Amino acid sequence: MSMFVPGGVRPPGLFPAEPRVIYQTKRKNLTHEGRIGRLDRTETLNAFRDFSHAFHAHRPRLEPELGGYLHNHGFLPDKGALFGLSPELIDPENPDEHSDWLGQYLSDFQAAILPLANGRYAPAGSNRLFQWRLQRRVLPLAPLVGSRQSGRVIRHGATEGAILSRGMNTGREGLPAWHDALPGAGTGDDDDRVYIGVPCGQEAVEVTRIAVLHDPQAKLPFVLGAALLTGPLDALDAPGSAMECRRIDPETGMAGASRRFERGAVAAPETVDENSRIVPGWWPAVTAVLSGLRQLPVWAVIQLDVIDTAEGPMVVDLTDRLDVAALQLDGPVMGAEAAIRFVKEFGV
Amino acid sequence: MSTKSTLPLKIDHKSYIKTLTGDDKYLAWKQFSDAFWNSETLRSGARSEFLFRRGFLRDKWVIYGFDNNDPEYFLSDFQAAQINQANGIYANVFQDRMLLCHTLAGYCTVPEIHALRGLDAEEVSLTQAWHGHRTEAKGPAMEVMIQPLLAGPRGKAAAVRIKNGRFEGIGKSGDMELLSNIVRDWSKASRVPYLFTQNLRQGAFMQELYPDTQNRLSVILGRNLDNWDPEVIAATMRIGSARSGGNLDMVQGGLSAPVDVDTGLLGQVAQVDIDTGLSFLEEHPDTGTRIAGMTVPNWDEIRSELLRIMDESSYMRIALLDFTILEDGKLGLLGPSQLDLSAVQVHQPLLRKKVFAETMRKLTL
Repeated sequence: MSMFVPGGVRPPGLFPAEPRVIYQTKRKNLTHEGRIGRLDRTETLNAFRDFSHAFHAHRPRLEPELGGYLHNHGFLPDKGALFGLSPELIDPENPDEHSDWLGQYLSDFQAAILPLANGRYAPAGSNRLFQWRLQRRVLPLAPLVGSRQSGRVIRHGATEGAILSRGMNTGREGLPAWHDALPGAGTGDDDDRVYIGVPCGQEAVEVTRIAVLHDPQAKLPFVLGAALLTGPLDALDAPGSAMECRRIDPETGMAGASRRFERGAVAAPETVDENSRIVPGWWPAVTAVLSGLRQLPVWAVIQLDVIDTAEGPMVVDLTDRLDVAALQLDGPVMGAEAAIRFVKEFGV
Repeated sequence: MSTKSTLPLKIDHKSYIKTLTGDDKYLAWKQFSDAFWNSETLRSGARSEFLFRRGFLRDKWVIYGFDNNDPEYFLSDFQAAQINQANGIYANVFQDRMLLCHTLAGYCTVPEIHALRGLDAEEVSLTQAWHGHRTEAKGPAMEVMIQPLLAGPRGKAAAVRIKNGRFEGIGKSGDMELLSNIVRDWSKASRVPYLFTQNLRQGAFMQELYPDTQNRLSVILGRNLDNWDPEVIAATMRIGSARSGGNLDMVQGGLSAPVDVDTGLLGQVAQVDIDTGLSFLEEHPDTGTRIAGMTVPNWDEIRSELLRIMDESSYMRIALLDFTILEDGKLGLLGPSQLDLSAVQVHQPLLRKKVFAETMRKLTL
């Protein structure tokens, strides 16, 4: 019997099931300037406005020259120090070269419009409750113990261990919070939430964060980048929280040097440990994630947080918003050929 | 005597139409208008004009018996076509057969998804069995449904049998390549992706209702938008007949029996004949099986499962789903409902259901 890979037997062309082009115009110029020049739809223009507002709300203000440089390349103020970006890197003789190099970084603005590549599925893709229900047969998801919508708490399963609550929608989520039991109706904040049972409490754990894009040529999902984050589960994305982060080489499963950084702070990351090491459970995690996504070929963009347990990998978070900072502490991720094909295909 | 003066006209459909904006609404209006003027019954007169103004298709005068019943409580055809918009950005979750099968997999038996044909794309095998049939011309015998990925008016459904890489059905037989080419042509003609799924076999109870067709338990699930409590708004057993064939549409001869949501008891069977009108029967007109008074087996369990599906899908406001009941008495998913609300409203108009009417009113649909 010939080898069987769901969705990957022959070039399927399934994906996109329908055209998912975000811009109507030509997509030759892959730099930020090209991207901004192509903005022609309500969703993308709206994302640009939100980005611009977020940039200007940042305090303290950056030097005008650095600020203008970062804003006009789609980065929020913290990325300058974090990635070591500066207008001084521009070669006055050859400014396009710098622009091309910078285009290899996934910018904050680009991360905000990437989910649109999920096409018809994009609105539902930013809902964690839907993601959890949809993919429970194909991914090793942590148990969903409950959810809250419009003030009503809904019990989905038995509660064991700690409960982490997250915002239901990835676009406008409140901070994650811990619970001992499912909260009663009407307590706490009024946001819609999902309650996820996790095998660890508030202590720091190692989380493998895997960003997956769809390769339009191979018609299969591929790992764009990955990072090993160390910190409590509720603090991985919270503004102001400090954590350690190692970049993972998707080809080898080796994690590089460990750097400490603080979310949103304008500061260079501090190197804690120069040594690289093997990521425990990397291959089982990648295998589970990629084979699951092949069986349900819906997402063009998805990011998964996986922890390594005695029973194997467990997915503890799913989102369509890629983590710009953690994935790129040691360099850009959008320079890979498959990533360039993705940008050309979807126009983001 | 003018019809208008004797009937309540609380929603002025004509002015309602003028307030509509957006591509979806314009399209819905065009489709309704087309369908209205293409229908054969009730060609002219005050009744016809009344129906048009209220958003009902012309056959509804007979089906809903507007000579005796108050149209105010009936959901119009124009409104029915937009019912999924109640779910806002999640409207396609329960309309997309692939998403629906995966999201309901934890609650009931769902058909296995064998393959998918994307728009302008190759066919993709999603199960080992399908892959075997395609590449090695061998594999287990299976019954397969071929349906558009998205529920709706476009495309068509067909059932085929497949064994050792050969198919039989849709009036043809041949190898998998031929089947693939046929479905590719369908996909191109109607501009929809197609899905190949397992064809669930109905259990003895469903079989008894009428053995020659796949009978459907159509449910409308909703919720109270004040406290988000789920509710089974209506359950209807849609039954085939010699006249209807596989199409369970009321006008085509399909029968419909209401299922009491609390007890699972089946009521009288409604049958529509455009010439003679609506009639209610105790027995199946072809087989003589006594249907009124039958009880859906395991109804309590089925009902709580339906409520659980709706409760745990808290992002959905309204869901219209078709199920069968399998040999083990459990629910088997058939897919999104075909929106023939006349099968529901001949028994009780939908706007008499408080939760449903409130939802439509709040969302101004």
